Amino acid sequence: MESTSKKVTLSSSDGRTFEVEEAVAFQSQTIKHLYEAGCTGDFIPVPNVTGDILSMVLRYCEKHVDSDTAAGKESFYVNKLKGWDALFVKVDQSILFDLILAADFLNIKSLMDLTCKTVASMMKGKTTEEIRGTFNIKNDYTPEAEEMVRRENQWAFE
Amino acid sequence: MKSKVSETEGGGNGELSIDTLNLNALPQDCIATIISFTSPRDACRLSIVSTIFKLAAESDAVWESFLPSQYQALIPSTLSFSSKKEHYLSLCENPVLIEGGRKSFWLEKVSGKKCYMLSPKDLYIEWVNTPTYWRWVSIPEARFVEVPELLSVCWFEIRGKISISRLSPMTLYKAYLVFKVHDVYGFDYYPVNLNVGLIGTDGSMRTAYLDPEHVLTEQQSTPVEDEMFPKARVDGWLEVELGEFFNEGCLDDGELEMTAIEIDGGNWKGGLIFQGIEIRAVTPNLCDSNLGLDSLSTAESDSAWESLLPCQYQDLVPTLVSFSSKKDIYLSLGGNPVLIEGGRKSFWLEKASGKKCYMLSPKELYIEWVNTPTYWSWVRILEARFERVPKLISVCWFEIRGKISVCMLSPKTHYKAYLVYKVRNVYGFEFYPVKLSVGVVGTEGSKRAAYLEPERDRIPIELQPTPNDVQFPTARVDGWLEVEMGEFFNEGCMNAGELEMSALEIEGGNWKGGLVFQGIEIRAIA
Repeated sequence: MESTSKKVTLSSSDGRTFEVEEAVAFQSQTIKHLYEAGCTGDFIPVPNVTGDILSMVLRYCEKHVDSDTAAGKESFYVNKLKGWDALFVKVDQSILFDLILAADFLNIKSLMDLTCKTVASMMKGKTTEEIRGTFNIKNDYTPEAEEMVRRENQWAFE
Repeated sequence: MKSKVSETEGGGNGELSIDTLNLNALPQDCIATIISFTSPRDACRLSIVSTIFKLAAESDAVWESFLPSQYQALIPSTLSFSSKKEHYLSLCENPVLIEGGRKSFWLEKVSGKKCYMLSPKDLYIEWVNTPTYWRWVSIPEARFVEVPELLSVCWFEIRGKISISRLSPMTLYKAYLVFKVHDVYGFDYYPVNLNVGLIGTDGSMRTAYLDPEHVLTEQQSTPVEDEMFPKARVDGWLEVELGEFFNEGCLDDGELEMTAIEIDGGNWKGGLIFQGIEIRAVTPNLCDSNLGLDSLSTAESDSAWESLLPCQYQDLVPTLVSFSSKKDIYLSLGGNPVLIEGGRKSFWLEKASGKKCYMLSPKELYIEWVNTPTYWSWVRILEARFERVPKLISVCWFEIRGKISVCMLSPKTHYKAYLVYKVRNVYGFEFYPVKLSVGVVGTEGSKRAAYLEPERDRIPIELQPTPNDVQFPTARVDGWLEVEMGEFFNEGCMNAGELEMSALEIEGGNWKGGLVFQGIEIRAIA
């Protein structure tokens, strides 16, 4: 009685709604569990994610909807998708962090890995000061405490 | 609760201050996930960024990801650890015996890559059970219960194998024969043939003398490289490199074979004790810097990428590294300098233009006094691209010269050369700037001057202000310092000709030291 295009509606924290196919939405383990637990009203609320970010996340899920199928595992398709992913995370830091929060809340492992890897690659080979600068992080150590942590990890600075 | 943005729930016009969302404000487990994609060394370095980072960087989730998947089975059950980080460090510092003592296993500390030593019982050693040729001994300094002592053989042959599925993927490995000498004889006439390679392939052939005291005889007129002799290890044993192997990790089966054979001489030889064959992961300087390079282009065709590669690139890429496409080669050469000419130079491509760039290792340079141990000492440091680099202890006469044939450079390209170094208790360089020059041999070239002392404040007050045309070193992203030595435009119409770079400070006559030199970098300027 039903075709492949059964839809679910998601509602973002700022009240925007998105209608997507089940297979797209269910890449989020959180949504899948909510749905299976009977949360099947007019829409499924996604209280922690804004409409802007949710629309990006759903765009990602749409793109990746076939990645578990046999055709999706072919190297041509995998490489193309990698290229798409690389462009997808070429965004401002604050958006990248919002995507991490969203991927964490929605429990989408491949998106979590992609966004976290992107941030990790921005850290590699940088000095402490460069990392604080790049990510605008305030050093909340006292000089003595910082020195102690540095000494505990001396080998990594040699 | 990780609900930074939840206060806007239901509000149709919720204005979020997302612009100020900062990495430090992410939940600790998100930061931990990020850190688990770096490396063990990065994780330790990141713990001093902030207190939140420390909590995340020391979490079990991070260190679990650096431990190999079957590590639980590798640890004697008598040992227990308070954290996964402690567990990791223990596996780096204390090799454990596995497979009933046939192998020793540990992790390379910086990267967490798996390393092994195959015990003699795990090797094929010709004649080893014939007591007139070999005898098994137990010595306290060996990792294994029994090791064989070579009394006397004509036919010397040792073979070891390991399944490549046990090695870490995307990792360069080097194998070493680990031994001691005890009244060694007969190994000074013929070098031993050494090889490392997948069974069924050619492998990386090389030769070395096992006698550390080997002296040149008259018929050996060809110069003998340093690499052809055993080197002392910190644990008191000697080692010679058998060869190297890059494990891409895309093959599941396949065995790596390591051999050491000397059967050409036919003479009697002996006086060695073998501990085993060590297979060590080699960490490149900036590992995994190609993360995210995928974004450069979506063009996949080999011909498009081949056109960007230098014409002799095949010679420049280690033959054991194979790539699935020309694009992969280009991107790899753009992000990961490779060692060429037996580690004497490092080579890469300037990413935007594809122009050839080099770093000349200290072995490739002429450095006055470098082999006099009171003035310079050779050190191994993790962050250097080359195996050993010289540390300047103290000299009056400071002189470094390097040369490169201009035909190795890309044509129609503007190059600048840089002296790349680090300071460690630097002194004596604050009085006189070093004179730097770059030019084709026989021409004027371009000249510069620079203080190698990085702290402007340490220049004596009477010499301040320093002249505008005297540079100070600048910090590089890889943690080293550099000063520009000069520039050169390569027209590309000369096939002969050598570019010479020099750094000289001999006017002061004062003692100076406290620098570690990595080399001279020749970079194409966009």
